[in-house]
Amino acid sequence: MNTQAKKTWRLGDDGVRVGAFFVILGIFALINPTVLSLVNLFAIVNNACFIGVMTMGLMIVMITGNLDLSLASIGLTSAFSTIMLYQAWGWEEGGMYLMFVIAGAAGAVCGLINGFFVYKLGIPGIIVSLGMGQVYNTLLLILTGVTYIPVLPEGMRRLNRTFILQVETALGTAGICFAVLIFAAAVLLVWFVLNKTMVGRGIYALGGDKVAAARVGFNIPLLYGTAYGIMGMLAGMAGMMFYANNTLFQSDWILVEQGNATAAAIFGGVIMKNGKGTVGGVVVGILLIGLIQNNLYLIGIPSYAQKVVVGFIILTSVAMASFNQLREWGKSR
Amino acid sequence: MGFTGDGEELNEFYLEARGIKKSFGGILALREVSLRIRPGEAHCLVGENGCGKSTLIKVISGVYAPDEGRIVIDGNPFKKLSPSESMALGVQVIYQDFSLFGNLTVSENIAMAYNVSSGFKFSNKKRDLELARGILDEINVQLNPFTEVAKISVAQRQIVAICRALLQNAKLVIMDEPTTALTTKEIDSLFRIIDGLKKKNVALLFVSHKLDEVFEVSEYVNIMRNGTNVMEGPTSEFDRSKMIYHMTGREIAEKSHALEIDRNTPILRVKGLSRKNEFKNVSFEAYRGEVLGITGLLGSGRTPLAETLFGIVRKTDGEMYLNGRRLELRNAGDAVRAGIGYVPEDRLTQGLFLNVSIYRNIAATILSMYSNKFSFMNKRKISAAVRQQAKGLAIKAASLEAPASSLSGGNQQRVVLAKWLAAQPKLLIFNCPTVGVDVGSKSEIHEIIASFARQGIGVVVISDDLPEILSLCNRVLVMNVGEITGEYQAGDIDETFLQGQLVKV
Amino acid sequence: MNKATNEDRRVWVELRDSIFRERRTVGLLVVLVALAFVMSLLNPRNFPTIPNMRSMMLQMAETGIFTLAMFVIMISGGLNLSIVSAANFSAACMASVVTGKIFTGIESPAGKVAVGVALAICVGALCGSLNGFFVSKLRLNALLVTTASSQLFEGAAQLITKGGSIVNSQIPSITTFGNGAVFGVLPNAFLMTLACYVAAALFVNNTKYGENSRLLGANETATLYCGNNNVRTLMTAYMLSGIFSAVGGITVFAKMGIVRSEYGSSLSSQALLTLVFAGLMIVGGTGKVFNVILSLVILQMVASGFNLARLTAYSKSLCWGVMLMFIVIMSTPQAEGFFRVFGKLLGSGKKGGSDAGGDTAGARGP
Repeated sequence: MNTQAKKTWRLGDDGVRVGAFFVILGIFALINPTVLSLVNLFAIVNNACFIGVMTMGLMIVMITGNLDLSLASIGLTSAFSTIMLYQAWGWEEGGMYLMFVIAGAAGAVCGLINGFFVYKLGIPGIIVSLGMGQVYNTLLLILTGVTYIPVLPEGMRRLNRTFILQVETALGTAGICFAVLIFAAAVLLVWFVLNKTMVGRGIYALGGDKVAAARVGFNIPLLYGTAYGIMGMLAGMAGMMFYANNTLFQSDWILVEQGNATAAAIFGGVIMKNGKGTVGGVVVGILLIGLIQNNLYLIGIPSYAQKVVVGFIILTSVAMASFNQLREWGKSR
Repeated sequence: MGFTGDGEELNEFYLEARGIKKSFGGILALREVSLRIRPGEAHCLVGENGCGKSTLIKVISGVYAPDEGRIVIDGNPFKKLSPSESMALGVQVIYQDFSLFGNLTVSENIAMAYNVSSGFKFSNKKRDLELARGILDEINVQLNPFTEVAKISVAQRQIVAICRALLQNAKLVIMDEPTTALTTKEIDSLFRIIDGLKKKNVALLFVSHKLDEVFEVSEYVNIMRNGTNVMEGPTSEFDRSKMIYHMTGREIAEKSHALEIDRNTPILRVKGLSRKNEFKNVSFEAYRGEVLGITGLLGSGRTPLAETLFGIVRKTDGEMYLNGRRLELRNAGDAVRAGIGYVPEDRLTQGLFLNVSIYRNIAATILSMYSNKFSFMNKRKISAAVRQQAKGLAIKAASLEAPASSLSGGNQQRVVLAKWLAAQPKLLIFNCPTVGVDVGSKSEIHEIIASFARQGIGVVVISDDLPEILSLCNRVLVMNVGEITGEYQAGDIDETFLQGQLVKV
Repeated sequence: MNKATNEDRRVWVELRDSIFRERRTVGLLVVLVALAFVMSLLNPRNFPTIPNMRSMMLQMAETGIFTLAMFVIMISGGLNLSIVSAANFSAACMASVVTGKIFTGIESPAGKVAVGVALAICVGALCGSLNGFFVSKLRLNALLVTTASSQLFEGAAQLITKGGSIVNSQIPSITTFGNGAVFGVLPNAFLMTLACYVAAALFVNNTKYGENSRLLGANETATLYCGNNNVRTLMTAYMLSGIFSAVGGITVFAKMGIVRSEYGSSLSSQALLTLVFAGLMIVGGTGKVFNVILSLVILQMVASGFNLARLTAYSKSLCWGVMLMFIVIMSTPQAEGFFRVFGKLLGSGKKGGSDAGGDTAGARGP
């Protein structure tokens, strides 16, 4: 033990994750080389955006030790109410950005409501999310009685088809779409808050030991508020991204995506019990889920076999991660 | 009160508490306590378990508000003190669980409290590192600042907690039983750090009942008994027996109950039992009709030994024989099936199901015993066994359906005893059986334990309560740094001698 | 004269204490009776009728079995979010046998059904064992494990149904049975679920694994120090949960004649609501089977009420959510504190349970 020791860059857990990602990518590529084509790689990134934004929001709450399964509902409700609002005001071009902002704000409010129940009344996050999720989901619908989405402005509809970067390749046009910017912004935001602000460190502290966090003097309501607020905001924005592509109010698909978001976070190394989880690891998790979701068909696995593979990978990584954690932390007796 | 040249009044004491009174729900925990600590003084609060030391600490750090009394810190008087106020004035408490964040690094943990109280909005790893390295160097300790706190040892965590307190400009560091989980070598390190603190004029208040540490480290002693301080003064004015006398209020421990001891057949025989890093080469025998005591400071290996005998943790070497039959315990279930019971030290988390009825608590160990091969329980037999034990041990409760949490400490311990008796054990191991039990119940429980021995059940009592050991046991084994270092007949020795044996290396 | 009144008083005190201890059951019974009364008043033509009862029981058959699958896990302090996926997986297996996709050697329909059911149960037990293994042997968090395994099971179901659904067109008697009723009143499916409830009650109240599950939920450390075998207890509990899930899957298949891999996504939260309503919180340990049944009936009446009033499914979901939040909030210590103050104001009795002289608990004294 040396005080002056330099930081050692061990092949830590995140390294294993990155390695696993490339190994799986490599296996896919061996079976079908087009996996490595630029078109495909860009497509993976594009498709990971939606789930990525959700996962970033989920992650910050998971670190506090609470699971939240109402992301989908928050997303749908916030985005939906934004659209209704816009319809009332009349559409305007360029209002696309504002729509994201409003959806984000509405989502943040929902998130804060969840956070209130968790912090003030001590109710476990899962239960709050299950209950409030139903409420968010249906309240708006009942009040407005609408079940479909009016046609969105051009800019929004083309969210996933507007490219910010295009490359012509032999296999076609490879492009990174606009949605990636939103994903990148989400990653940057969460990374900044968690790593560069005291509130973020406080969120880690909260996940590590709630009582100690209070003793050290953190403003606990602020910590919960930030975590749940960001979660809600990102959920709202993800909801907006969802409506860019869909006209039905509700869809089981978004619930599936929420499940995948949880999977991505778990694979990315978020451990609720101890308040562990890095943004880098979760991004790898998101990309991995994206890879598997979109490329299984390329290696000949039919779409209906996808979930099994995803489920298997998740279960194994949960087991390995927790096992590893127990082993390491148990060493210091 | 001293005066400087310019007529400014100097406080002789950094912290002064006067006439403190505190009760919890009708039970008086502190009555008329006073405490005066000088700057840079190593002040020790001594007393037996339950005398009120921890409560007093909580009062002066602001966790509890006293019912009566006054506290003056650094010249500021308080009737009601809050934790943040006391912290702001330089009172830093190091809790027994250290309140650290296992998922964060050493340097971040050290700097955390400082960062929060300084109101920083942004986190700066470089700043944390500098602060951490700085304070570690100041107290001359080597610790890798990048390690996750969950991965370091207990002693190292304590150092992190101390560093964190120091960074907060602590003027008084309060430690509650600081050497509880440390090995002898680590204790030496801690003492050196404490010396360093004294040089920086940081006062130290520590609570202890280990006399050797008290003599080694403290300059001033404050002896508490039954919620008040009975005696105080510079450490140099005390010797062991004087201190013991004031702590316990009695001269000599009572002698044990007369028992018929059958030395022909040991109920328990242990040979060369070892568990890596905890204890090694432990060999002894416990006979029918005898109460065998094992004592030692915490860290001597006595609790790991108890837990190994009960199968909670596994041995790494050695043999165990129960009534002549060799035992290989893979888990506690094996031990219970073999007929061993364990009354644990931590009654609330290890011994009882607090929100569950007394009935079900007592029945908890005999579920398998009274179940058929389809795992259906024979409720009538269980009921009979439970009621028999409840009656036999005179558990005072309105109904067996009441939750265990509604009972007093003494009655709760009876429930634990009942639970094990119901399992018809051949050997019972007790770990600190009367901790947190009121004085009246204490002797009753001792009589119950002695009666077990009379009934022919093997009894091994592990305790750090020396009077208890001497009055209850026939024979005493002393453990030190993981080995048995002495064996004595209880009738041949007295408390002072035993206390001395505990630290002889 | 005095002796008589003292005796009366003692009886009253004991009665009051038992009522307090069983207050959840009493409360639920009151709500049930009141609700039945109110619903009958509001809709006298449709509610208190035999067809309505039958329809409610048919629904309860489904929700009830999943509630049970969650119940056996919740008492041990965990959550099983994979019950629905395990059900779909088992049902898909059974459907494959019944439609002749696998085990093609079996000729008779009866044989197919028998093998199908057996296979479904085995698959359910297998799913349960997998969960149980991770939770008991690897000591992983139940919520995490079952969130992950639910993906796996759903994926397996998807694999078998090839992403679509399996329709039972070959053996119509299954559907007849699934929708049929004894004496035209008691649906077969309901009886099956009832039988499962009896089994669950036996497990929880009469077996050592059931009792140990409860103790586990109350204080895991203490069970270790009692020498109880937690691995076997948890494995049994999870296997039972898996079997119940399978029964649920079979019930749905029999009722609807079709298996879809994504069926019933809201059933988990519904089960959770029912259990929280019945007094279980994630802390585990408490919870009586009878209370669960009461809770199930109450919530079913509410649901039927909604249906009869022709409110949309959305209103029902909203109501569910609000009720869940309400119940949970009412169970928090803050709410309990509020009620205690309220109760004192009304001058009602003190918190009973023990007149043991007001002893206070405490190990390591103040």
